[in-house]
Amino acid sequence: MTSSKTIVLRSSDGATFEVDEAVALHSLMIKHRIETGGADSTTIDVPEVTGNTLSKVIEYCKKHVEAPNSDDLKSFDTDFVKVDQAVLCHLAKASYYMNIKGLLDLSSKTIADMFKGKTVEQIRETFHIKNDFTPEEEEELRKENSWNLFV
Amino acid sequence: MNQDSSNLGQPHESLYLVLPYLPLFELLAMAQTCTSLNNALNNDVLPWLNIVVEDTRPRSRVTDEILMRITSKTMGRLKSLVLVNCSKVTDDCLHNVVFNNPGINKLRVPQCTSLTPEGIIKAVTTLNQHNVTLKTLKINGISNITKEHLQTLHSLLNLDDSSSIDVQICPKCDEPRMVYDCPLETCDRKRATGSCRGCKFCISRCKECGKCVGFGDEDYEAACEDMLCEDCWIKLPKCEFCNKPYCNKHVYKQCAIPGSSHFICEACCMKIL
Repeated sequence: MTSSKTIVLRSSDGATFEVDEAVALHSLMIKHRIETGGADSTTIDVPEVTGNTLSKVIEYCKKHVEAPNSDDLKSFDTDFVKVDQAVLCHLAKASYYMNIKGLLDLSSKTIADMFKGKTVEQIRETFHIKNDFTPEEEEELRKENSWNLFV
Repeated sequence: MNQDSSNLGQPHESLYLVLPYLPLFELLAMAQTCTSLNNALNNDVLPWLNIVVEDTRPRSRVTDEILMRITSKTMGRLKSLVLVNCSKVTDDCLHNVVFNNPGINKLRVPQCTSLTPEGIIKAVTTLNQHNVTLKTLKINGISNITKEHLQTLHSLLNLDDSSSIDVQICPKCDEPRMVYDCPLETCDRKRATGSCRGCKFCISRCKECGKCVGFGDEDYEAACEDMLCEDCWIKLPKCEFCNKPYCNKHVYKQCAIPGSSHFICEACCMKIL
């Protein structure tokens, strides 16, 4: 059932992964590279993605390419994103870069759910964002958003 | 990306990717976290193409003025507008938004109690004038919808398999209601009468799976008085006293028994106390 052609994907930290071409083509970025590639389109560099993340991305692509109609695809997806926040963020970025819409939707929606009901301060804490507004800017924002205070 | 909370910095790139998936209040909060997200949100149309507002706090916050301010960020390219429980939004405001954003293909305004069927018809008519792109319309919870309103909307929308309105005329009672089909290929009702399609007043359905119940077979009542089919009734955990389950929506009503993983229902709990 598997085609004989395999592709090697190389992550930013030099890790290599051999995958069936059909699985690799699930990434439209890789598909484009192969189609417009030159002589050596059997090894493809993915410099925006580390080995750990790339391995997870490949796991996703394998499942979705090899068993797209399986009953447990939904529970696979649900379990797939039960990972910690940092991993989720890396997955979202990788899926955007590698143009894998299903994975981008899945990881982004999961991260989006983490925002539900959070205040500005809570969002900063959860996602490690530094408040770099000046006091004047903060005051301006507070006024603009005064209608939206938690009541 | 650090887990150490004392090491705050610029938002991870993936957070920009998440913006189009956020509902409105969360988007507005994001815009207040730091300057880069603020700039991204003020200079980019993409996160504003699908606006989802769930105004379910004790008091509705989104007024006409606020909705106009927010939709002005869409530069006329709004694709979908979902307003849930926005009880302060009026017909005029809805019409203005639709007039300024003729490409809307999804309009959902459930429980927006200041909107009227006439206002919605006016908004849909305006959208129609710019080529019908509206595919989904949800209006359950708008008061005083009549059969005539629905017929007008149907004719405006050229409905087919790919487009729909959630409120329809119940084939049994002829009233405008949410109408449900039976998830089963064949059921007792279909075998006997040819169809199993109707509103919740005409056909009782299992709260969990939507299968029709009460047609010749025994019905199973949950402790919350919702109806269940036999299969779902069997699967759900039951009150230790009366052996009735709660449906998943009302699981919070279970009264825990200290020292055990079982529960008793509210009614039995009252009887004991």
